[in-house]
Amino acid sequence: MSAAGLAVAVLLALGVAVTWLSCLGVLLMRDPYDRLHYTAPASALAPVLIGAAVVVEEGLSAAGIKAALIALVLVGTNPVLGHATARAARIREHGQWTITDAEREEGGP
Amino acid sequence: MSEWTLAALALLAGLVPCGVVCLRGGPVDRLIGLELAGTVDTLVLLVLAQAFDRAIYFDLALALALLSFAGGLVFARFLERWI
Repeated sequence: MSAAGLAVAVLLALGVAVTWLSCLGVLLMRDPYDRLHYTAPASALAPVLIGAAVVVEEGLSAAGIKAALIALVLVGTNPVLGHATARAARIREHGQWTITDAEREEGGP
Repeated sequence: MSEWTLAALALLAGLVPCGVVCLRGGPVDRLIGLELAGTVDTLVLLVLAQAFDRAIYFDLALALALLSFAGGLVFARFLERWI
């Protein structure tokens, strides 16, 4: 197996492992806020690893550039989605996004 | 079977925990399961496009990445107050 082939295999295996661990973390946590933490590796690390595997295999051809673009889109959009979801969870729980009066009296959230 | 097909199959197995999360818990937990499933699906399509060696198939993964983002934002917006 050539060095490039080995690099592709290692990058793919790492990407799959990160995705699995992320899915297991989301499954095992009990709280939406805890679960949200475990969506980050699958959406920030795994696309970069798998996109890098495609780029190593194909070089900067149409396929390589598109794979890099997909990784960039996933890395860029998922923090926004995570924030929106956490905001929705907090508003459902407390009725507002900002610090509540009760929390302010206790000295912070 | 190339390493790309194997990776796609392995990534598909990651959808099972997402499905279980979508079936249990509160509405926000289910939304998180859906968002993670969208990310895993995008990765599956990305790997399959390379497995079939067709550059045009990458557009499918790109479209899913953008649409699952928009869909997740809409769900989050509605879950804030109305659902």
